[in-house]
Amino acid sequence: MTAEPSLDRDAQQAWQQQPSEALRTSVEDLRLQTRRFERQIAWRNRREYAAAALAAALLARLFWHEPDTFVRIGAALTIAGMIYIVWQLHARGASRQPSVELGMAPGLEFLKRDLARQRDLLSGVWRWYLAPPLPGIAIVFIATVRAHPAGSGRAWPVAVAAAAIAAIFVVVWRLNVRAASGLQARIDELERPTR
Amino acid sequence: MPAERTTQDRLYDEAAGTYGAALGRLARGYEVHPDARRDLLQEIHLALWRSLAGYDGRCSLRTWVYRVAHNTAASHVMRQRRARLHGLVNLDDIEDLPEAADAERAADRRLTWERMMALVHRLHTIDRQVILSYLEGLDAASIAEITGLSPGSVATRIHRIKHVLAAHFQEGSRNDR
Repeated sequence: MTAEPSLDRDAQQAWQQQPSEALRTSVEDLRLQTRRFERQIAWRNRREYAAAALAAALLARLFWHEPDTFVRIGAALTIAGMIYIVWQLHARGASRQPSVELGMAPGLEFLKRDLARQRDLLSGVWRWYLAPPLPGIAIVFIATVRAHPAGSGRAWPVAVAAAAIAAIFVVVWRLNVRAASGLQARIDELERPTR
Repeated sequence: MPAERTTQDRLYDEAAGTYGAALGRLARGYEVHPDARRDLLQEIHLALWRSLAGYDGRCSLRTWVYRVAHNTAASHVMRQRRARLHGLVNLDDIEDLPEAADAERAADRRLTWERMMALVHRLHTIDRQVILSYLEGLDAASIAEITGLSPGSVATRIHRIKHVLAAHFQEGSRNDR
């Protein structure tokens, strides 16, 4: 049987006697910070919605002025996909853990829940972020290629642009799936029986 | 005109008064850079005040305060980890970490302490919660309530922590002589 080490008491003492870094703040300061933080979040959301609205306006212009029906269908579908993404971002932002959860959940539970939330966000990125605008974009590209036959010299740049966009989508998807696997491995580790 | 003080405000004042220094030490266990540490401590206080709006006395105020602090700090570590891309280790692997390159530097007790802190900063969140709670002098039952680990698991970890701490401080004390 090994003897119980006693010098760990030194460590506890040294830890508790280290110079204090207590924060000097007041409830009024915290109230102000909360309001400032909420204003920042609201401002960030407004910026994101404005960017989406601008892109939707450009696509709507295409929809109204483009004579090709396929391009118009593609533009309408892309707008619908963007609206879906913005709604998803809004819903996911609204469902974030409230502050009270920080005190209700013990560390292990909080950590697993937070990791699972991030994992689901990343593993589902294809479904809620990448896929929605794809049908519209694909139809616009196909319509453009149809409008410019192979011999016209304009089909190739369009095809290359389509391939580049597809490659970006695949890379983003793969990176997110890999990150989600890493998070799942961490959750598995936390759930091992020895924990 | 100052706003009327609510139960939430009074609980916060009590918590900050009683555990303010402990929260400062806890932030030190999660963040090594002074500026980032101040930000983390501010974040913990903000989270604590906001959380207390929902405090219903189901657990002690101490447990609530430590849970909020550790959970806020854990989220901070996750964000930092993504940014800095450095790996964390388990308590079981802590002895496998490389020794200090310069043996003479380890003769200084302060440096031994700093090295100890460097080890703490490399621990995974749950192990870090246990070691910091232990250093704060909390007993195994309280640590189990804060971390959500089983009492047996906490006891095993504390036993391991005692050996690790004793080994480091033994070395520091020997070198002091």
